[in-house]
Amino acid sequence: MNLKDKIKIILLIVCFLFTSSCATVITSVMPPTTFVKKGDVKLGPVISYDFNIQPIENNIYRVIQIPICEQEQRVFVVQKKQTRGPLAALVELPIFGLGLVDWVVADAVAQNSKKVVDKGYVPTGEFKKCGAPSPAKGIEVVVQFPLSGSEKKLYTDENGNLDLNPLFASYPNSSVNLFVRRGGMTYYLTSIYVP
Amino acid sequence: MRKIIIFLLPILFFLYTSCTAAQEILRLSTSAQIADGFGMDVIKEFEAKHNIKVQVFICCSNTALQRLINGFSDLACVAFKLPVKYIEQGYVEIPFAKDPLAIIVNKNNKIENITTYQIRQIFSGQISNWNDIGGIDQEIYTIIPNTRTALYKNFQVLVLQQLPISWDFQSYLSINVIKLVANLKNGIGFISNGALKNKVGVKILKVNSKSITDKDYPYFQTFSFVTKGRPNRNAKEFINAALSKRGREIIISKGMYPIF
Repeated sequence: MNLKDKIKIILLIVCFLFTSSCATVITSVMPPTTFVKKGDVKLGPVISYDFNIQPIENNIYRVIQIPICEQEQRVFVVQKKQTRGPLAALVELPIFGLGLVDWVVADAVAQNSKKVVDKGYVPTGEFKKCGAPSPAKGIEVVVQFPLSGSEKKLYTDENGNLDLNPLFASYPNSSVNLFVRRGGMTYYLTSIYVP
Repeated sequence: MRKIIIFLLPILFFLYTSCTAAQEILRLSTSAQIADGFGMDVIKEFEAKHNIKVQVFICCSNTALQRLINGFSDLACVAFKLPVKYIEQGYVEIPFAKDPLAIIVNKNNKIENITTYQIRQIFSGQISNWNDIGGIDQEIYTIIPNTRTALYKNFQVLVLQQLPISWDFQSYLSINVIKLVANLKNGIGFISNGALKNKVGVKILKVNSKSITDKDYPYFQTFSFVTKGRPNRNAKEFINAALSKRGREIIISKGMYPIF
């Protein structure tokens, strides 16, 4: 082995030392990146109601309530190192084919660094109907008389019915607005013209 | 190839139109003082929460009502009581807030309190110098909103008891009264308290020693929603947004009182 060959071998070893495992080292050294992965969607608990009114008889109405839920989505926070150094692995490839090994190891390092934190279900801000309509029993209904600015409180019976006959007898030729009051919230129901 | 394009074009057109029509629209015409005092904040939050775009037209209450009558709006916000003839015709009035009517002067004016009698004298032209009510010896400039606005009519009914109003300056939109009073050292005007939040250059006078925050303050306007027939789904959603906890918070934060 002459000097030229020795230099070649030394250069190859130096190349091997400097280039092998580059992608693995870069992948290991770089900090992990964090991203959010979204999971399945479900409806949360009932947070409010949508109210409707149905005429039953002359001036007797049934108040119907439809539960409203907020949509929730499962969220995972994923922390993972990214596989880096593809160029280094490519350079290493002609040298004993080590580039491929380096890339596989770098990818394994990245996969091993993966940490998933389940943040549970979080509200999406979308509201959907989440139950069958049912009569609103014993609910407070506010009757507003816009002309006089006065209000009257009524309650629905066990069938969700509201008898407006006694009230309308006292206030002919007026328009009234009906509101449902539940849990400190007021919902507009409908307006009725009293002939 | 041509056949494929001819086949695909209607499909693409259908997809485009169905995508663009996805967001629903609520056409709202509102009195400027309601928009400034309350509406714009509620609209922003309403649009963010619901998939409904609100097309707002800001004008005076009378124009807002006319736009509703002529089918240009789904919902009108007005600052006057709806005349009985409209209720008989099937229009729905839903009062939602009460707003104190503020008497304002330039911030450099030394006057702090005014009586109902003095207001009547000033705005009917019987008094024309600040000296007559304990101020400096300078002419009083009366500033009023457009005579078609609800604010003008409410002031005439509530304060002047139908007396004709004498004025020096008139603004087209009621909220511009604030700018005029802020720029005129000897100006006096009146405006919805809700429109006054974060406005500079003006001072609110006590009336009969009652502060504008007092429950027994003498002058209140009523703000109402008006719809042609029963409110449609989008209008109902908007009304409920105004009645909601957040809507009430906005009304209170602007110095107004929610009806519910």
